[in-house]
Amino acid sequence: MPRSVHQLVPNLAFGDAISQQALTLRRLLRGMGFGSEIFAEHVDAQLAGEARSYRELRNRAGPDVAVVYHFSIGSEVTDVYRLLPNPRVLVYHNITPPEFFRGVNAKVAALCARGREELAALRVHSALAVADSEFNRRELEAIGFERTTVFPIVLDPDRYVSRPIDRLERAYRDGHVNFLHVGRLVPNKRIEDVLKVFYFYRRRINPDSRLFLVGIDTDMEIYSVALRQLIHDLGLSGIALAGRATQRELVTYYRLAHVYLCMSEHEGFCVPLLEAMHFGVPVIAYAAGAVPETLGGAGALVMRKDFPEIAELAGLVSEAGRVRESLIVAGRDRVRQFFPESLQPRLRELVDSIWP
Amino acid sequence: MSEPAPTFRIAGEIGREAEEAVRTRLAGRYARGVIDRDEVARVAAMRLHTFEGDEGASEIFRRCCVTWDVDRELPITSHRAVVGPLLVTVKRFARRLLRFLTEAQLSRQRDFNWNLLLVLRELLERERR
Repeated sequence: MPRSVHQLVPNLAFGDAISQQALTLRRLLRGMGFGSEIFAEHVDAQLAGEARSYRELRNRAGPDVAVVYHFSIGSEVTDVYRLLPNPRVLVYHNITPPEFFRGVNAKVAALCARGREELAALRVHSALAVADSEFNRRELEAIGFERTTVFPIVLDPDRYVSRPIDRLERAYRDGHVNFLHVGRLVPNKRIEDVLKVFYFYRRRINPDSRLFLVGIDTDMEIYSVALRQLIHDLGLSGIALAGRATQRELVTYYRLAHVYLCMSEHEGFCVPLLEAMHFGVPVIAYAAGAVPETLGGAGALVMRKDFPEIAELAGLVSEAGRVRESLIVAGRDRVRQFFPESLQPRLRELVDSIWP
Repeated sequence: MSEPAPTFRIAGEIGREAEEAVRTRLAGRYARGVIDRDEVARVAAMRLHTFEGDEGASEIFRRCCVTWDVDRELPITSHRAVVGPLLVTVKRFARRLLRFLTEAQLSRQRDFNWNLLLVLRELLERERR
């Protein structure tokens, strides 16, 4: 019987980075000749049929069936993983430190704190722990995982070939400079600092500009209201709170953007940086967490939050010129390193190491 | 006096070119009074008004933050298996068609809710203090 590598995820959700990684890995694993299924607790209606119930995994025990668990906090799936007799691999996508959620959502803060304890308890249940960045791997090592390695998020360019949405193109391709931030509205992403940079750009450099904030605020509504109040207090217009975006909408926003701005102070990987580079959007990002390694020198790395200076930099990279061109070229080169064909040999190596 | 640490870094020769260009442009704006240091300090110091109440009050306030925006579109769904997709399309169309009738009222309600939300947070914070 051929060997199998199954994946276990709490939620298989449309547009979510971890779910996308699971789907891409399944395709690659099958391409290598392994049996590969996804088992999940919850599956989005749009992905119905892509995953089996996590309870079925108990019937797939055996030394030739490895289970890869994309760890997530507060899920029943963790208990199932803990009791499996199969060779087990834990994948760590990071847990945001609870202090970021103070004053925003006490439940989420408590969940994150508990998540770190849950993770530590899985040390003895995992033959190998895989992190999607060196930053995350160091966290695993600090918790006490013995065998750790890095395998990054795979960016499948085929996902981004959809046709842009005409309505958005007509509304926003109007000669304005478009700033973009993609990601949930969560406090660690410091959207307030993105707003402050944009304030100086729009007020003092170029009023013909706008900022797209693409991302949902589920469970973070107190934070999102505080952001709206800051927008009001700054007297700032030109901000499009786009909320949840379909894949086609997301593609359209990337196509419309002139600059991608990230002021996040905690990131375990940051997929939108890769997406921006893929679409030829120059990235300006604060150097925190895994951001420097994801960018890999292919963007402007912010070391100090001097808002007017970052706004000036955004102005420079949004203009046609040598700086913009070199960032676009570097970004496109960088993102190729995350394409499936580039990462397939590394995946093979990783899977082989499960059965030494 | 030593130079402050650079604000940003771009790899390679082009990075030095960018640093120089940004520094020159920004210095020009300060010199011309387009940006003033008081404004920079004021904006940098602006903090978000989050909510430092106990868990119970925080959860009540969070729920208010979910529902204040009556203009926020609710998802359109149907529990019927066969005709469900058709019903969703009809509902979506009807919502768009009737929007012009409800827009003014929704806008007023939204303004009212927003102001009430800010007052509520202030009151809850005062009580906590």
